Amino acid sequence: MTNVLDLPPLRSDLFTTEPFALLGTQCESGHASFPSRDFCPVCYSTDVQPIELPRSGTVETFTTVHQAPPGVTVPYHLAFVRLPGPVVLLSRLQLATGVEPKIGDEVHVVPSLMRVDDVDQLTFAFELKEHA
Amino acid sequence: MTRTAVHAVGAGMVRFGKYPKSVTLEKMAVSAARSALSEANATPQNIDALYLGTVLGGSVAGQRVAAQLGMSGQPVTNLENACSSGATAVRDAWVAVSSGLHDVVLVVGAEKMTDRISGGILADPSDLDAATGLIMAANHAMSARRYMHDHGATRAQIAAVAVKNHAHSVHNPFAQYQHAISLAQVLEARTIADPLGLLDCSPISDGAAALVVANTAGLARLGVDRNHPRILGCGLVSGTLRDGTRSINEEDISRRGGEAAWNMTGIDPSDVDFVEMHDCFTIAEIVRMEGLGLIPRGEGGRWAEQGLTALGGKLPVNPSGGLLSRGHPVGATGVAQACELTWQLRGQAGDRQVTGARTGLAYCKGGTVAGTDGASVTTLVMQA
Repeated sequence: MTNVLDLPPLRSDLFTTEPFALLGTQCESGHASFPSRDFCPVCYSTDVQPIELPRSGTVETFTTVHQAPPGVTVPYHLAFVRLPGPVVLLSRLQLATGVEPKIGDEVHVVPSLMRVDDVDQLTFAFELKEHA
Repeated sequence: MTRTAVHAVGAGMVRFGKYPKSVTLEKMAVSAARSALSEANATPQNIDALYLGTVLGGSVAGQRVAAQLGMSGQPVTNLENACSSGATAVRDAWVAVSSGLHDVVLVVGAEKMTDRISGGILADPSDLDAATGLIMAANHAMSARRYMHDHGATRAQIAAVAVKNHAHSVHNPFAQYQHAISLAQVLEARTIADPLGLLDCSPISDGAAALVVANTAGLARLGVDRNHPRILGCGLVSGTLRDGTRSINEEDISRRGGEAAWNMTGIDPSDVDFVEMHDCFTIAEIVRMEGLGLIPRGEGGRWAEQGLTALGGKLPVNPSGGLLSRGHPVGATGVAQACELTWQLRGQAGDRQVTGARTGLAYCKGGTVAGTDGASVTTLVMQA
């Protein structure tokens, strides 16, 4: 079976795979941004460098989607995740069966397979720390 | 910019709902436009321009409507700002008429959705949030969960918004739904994105709404008097770049939309007698009213539960039934809100009339863009 990390990425600028980590940008004042931007969204400096984002954060809020447009498989879980930095980002949440997350739970980033138009692609997700 | 007074002299709608394929966008738009023109004592030939808002209507939808309406050669502008497309058309019409560029303008919002949308709406496929699966319902579900966590609000308080808005539209002949619903029905409806269920979501709808606006020269041309509600102004803001420190319910875009309206009109928030609010989802009405500063933070759920935002309450919100119950043909919604303000301010809203309505606010929000707090918010202020 193909390693999920060998799949084509959903987008080329979202993560690195060795080891797996989200990629963002940061200006000289330390303002981080995800996805990567060629300027700082806080101070508008164009002197920004690529960074690997922290691998762990906390759940700001979450939902399980039970109805979606055709082509999107349901149900699936979504969360806003707060990473130290600070960056708040939207992500799929991978949950073991029967597990209920809570606001404030610690999560960490993992590689994830996403099927788009019948093609398997590599993207990112977060999962609960105690279920790692 | 020097601005002259602008009046809403005609309003017209077709009932929002689900129509067969043969009832086209053009037919609905022409029907709404003829009603508005008739109220305004205007004809397609003696108006100066058409501004049309639509999202799914395709290229030059406004010119297609103009050709069936009987306009010939006048300027036509098509506007797309997602769910605030119609509201943006109202704004641009107001700008044109208040500046004197035009004297009488027709605004139309029109959408034919039921034959092309199912299951919910995703942002543009190029957007990272959309690729991750952020349907609109999911975004608002996460807002609701966080709101309940932060403010101790109950699921029932959020559901009370749907009960209230359905109760209002029992009296609105243009509403898609004209029946009351119970709290139990909202709570027991099929889950879409938890904690929100089907009745927390505005429906997918077809419909059209139209408004005729005129300045003083326009009133003279049409031979109508000045006793028509005035458009005092319409704010428009877009999202700011998210700096990562915000919470999902900060609603800074709503605060800025409100500021734009108060600053350009000189109206104080306490002057607002009623609101037509973009309640695409129950929770959205609550957090946006709080973002505007019209309801204290964290109290919107209790206000809905206690009837403070119902007709006869402290600050009636969505006397029309709102998007939840009037329906939400996306490009038409902002113009329908302006029609409701017009009828309310004339005292012609029948059994859904807000007593003593003198100043009304209509808030429309359209679209999401990853990395920002929204795409567009409009804030229309009208006065009797």
